[in-house]
Amino acid sequence: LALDGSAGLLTLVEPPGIGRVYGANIGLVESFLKEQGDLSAVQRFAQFHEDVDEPLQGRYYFALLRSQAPGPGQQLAFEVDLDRCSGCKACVAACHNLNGLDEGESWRDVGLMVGGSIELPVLQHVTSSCHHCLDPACSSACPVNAYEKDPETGIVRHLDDQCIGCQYCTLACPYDAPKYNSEKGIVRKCDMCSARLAVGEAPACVQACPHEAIRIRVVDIADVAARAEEGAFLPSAADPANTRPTTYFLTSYWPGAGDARPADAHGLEPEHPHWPLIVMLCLTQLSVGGFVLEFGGRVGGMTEFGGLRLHTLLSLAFGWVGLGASVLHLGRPLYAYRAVIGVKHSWLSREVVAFGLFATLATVYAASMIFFPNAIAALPRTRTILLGLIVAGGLAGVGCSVLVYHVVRRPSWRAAYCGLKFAGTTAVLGLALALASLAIASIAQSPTVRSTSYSSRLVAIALSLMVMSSAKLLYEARLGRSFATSCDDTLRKSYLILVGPLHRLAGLRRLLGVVGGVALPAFVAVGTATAHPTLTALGAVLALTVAICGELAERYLFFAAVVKPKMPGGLMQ
Amino acid sequence: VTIAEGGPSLSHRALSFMHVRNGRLTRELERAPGRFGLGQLPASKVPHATTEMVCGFCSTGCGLTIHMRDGQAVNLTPTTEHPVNLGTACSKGWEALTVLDADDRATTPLLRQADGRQHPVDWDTALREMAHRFRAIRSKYGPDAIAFLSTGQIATEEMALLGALAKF
Repeated sequence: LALDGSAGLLTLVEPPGIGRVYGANIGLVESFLKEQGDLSAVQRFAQFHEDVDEPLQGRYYFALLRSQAPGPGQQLAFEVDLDRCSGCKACVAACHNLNGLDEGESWRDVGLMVGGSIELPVLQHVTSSCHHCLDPACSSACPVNAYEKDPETGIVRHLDDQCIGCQYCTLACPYDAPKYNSEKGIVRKCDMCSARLAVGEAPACVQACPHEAIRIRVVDIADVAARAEEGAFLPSAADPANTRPTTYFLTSYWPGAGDARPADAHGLEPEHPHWPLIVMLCLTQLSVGGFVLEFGGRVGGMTEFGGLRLHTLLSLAFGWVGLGASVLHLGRPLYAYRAVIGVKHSWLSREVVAFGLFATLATVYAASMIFFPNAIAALPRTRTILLGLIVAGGLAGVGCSVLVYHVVRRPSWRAAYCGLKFAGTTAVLGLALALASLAIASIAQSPTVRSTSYSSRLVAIALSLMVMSSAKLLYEARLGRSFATSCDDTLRKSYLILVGPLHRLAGLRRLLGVVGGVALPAFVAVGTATAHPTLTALGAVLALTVAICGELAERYLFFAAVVKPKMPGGLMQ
Repeated sequence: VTIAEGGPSLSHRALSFMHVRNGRLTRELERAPGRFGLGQLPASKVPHATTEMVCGFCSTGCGLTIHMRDGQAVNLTPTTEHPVNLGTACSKGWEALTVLDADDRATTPLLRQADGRQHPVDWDTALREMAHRFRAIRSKYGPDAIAFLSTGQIATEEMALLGALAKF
């Protein structure tokens, strides 16, 4: 039967795909010859399903998609059935593979909640990604308008080519949805695989989940808003009332808020310190403090004295170094100029605009001091007004800095706390700079001039510096103690990080604060009358240097000891 | 935004300087029809051909469809029609290609030489050396001196081969 080349047998033995190539009535030998000149078995296998455009996996996932498009007052949302989530992380791997993401990059995470009772202890894995919020915090924080919420689907999309890599959205999102890609210097995030949804295919995570735990559904915006209002989202996640996340988490174990807590709740991992931001905050505040003192002195009748020019130039130079450092924080610094376009809604944009104005005016002022000293001396009123504008811009900038951190809702970054810290740095470093400038200028003066017009000022500034530094150090110590006894878990955790993994740095910060802000200024105050002026100046420059280091350490602790709202994480590494 | 005749207007160019919706970074994440019944895939990884393998991580035997471009494996998806896994895989299965890039991947047999270090040798040398030493043990201590400790991390066929080897 086999040798007669009957069509029936040929159909039985042929591998899939041959039927398309041969006519059924060709003889067997002839067909083998033809096959030899055609594809090898491996090649043929490689073409299996080549012309199938419909996704084969669709047979399993079509039921997980809603066929109708969202109508008015509706949007698309993820629905996660927690009872079905086993924590296998296939969704995480599939998001990475099917979206062509970089090594280690995925837009979906799996965390773990623990809780329940002794009778029913529960370990609950949670898969989560972007919640495509009604009020996306990423979008309102973004200084370059790189976020868009699709008016029809409600999907929050990130414009990768617009992003400058400032990562402010990663601070603003309470659910860790935007992910920074340091290789590319931009943030990327989940777009619910909108191109797949547009042709009726499922997002990568929905396709990959072996338990069909993730679905796409159409939700009523009013319903999402009502649920957010009553706090119904996911136990142990950030308060949904702020951004109104649309993901529906279904669970039969925790119908209410329950006693669930994230498995990583007790971890005391310091956060990323963001060095460019530490330098930027401290030095811009130093610069503003310098100009505030100069303005105050001028208004108070101290129009001209030796060391003023040095003080102005150093204030300006430190300011520019601070602003330069902030650019280093960007993943794509070449596009930093775009940061002004979000000024309507982003405190980061407003900070950029305010400090831009401050630095420009301050540069004009310093340049006119150097190049047109006579003209500016002849216009004292104009000079005071210009200084006033510089100070207004600078203080507005420091105020924006405070709000940049306040609005991302991390308890230890509340405006009340960082406002006092930033104002304290402005005062301490401004005074330290004035002390150093004045002490340097006094070297060249005759002993008589030094003792008549310099000594009293040096002593006054040194005493002010000692008072401000002590006040700031006491405030920081008191704040730390108030965190320890706070009823807010995240503040207590901040305290535990400060006295735990960061305790050495916290000690160093206190030491630098006392040496730079109290001991060395005291030496300068005493030495003005007795010691050699060069030694006094050296002490003042050292005081400035140590005080700057102390404030940098304070700001490091500010960033590293913060506890951010986030989705439940996994067990500690 | 108005587009003037003969090219984008000044306002359009100024706007695109400040606000860009598309470009190289956006294109990097574009998805395109993958054919082969795979649905959409990253445009840069759309396969020219596919081939099938059984996942080697454990003995469950999930089917994986390997996406090939220019003869190289660039991506994979779990095989929908494979009866064991019905188009799903665990996170290890999804990452089954990653081991191909491992720096310490064993690609050639190593034999400890007189200097105490392991040196690469060809398969023939390695197999002969192994057979020679096993025979030496068996002839000195008898067949009971040899046992194999196997693993669930190999495919059934490899397990059968190991069993056959151990018996004879």
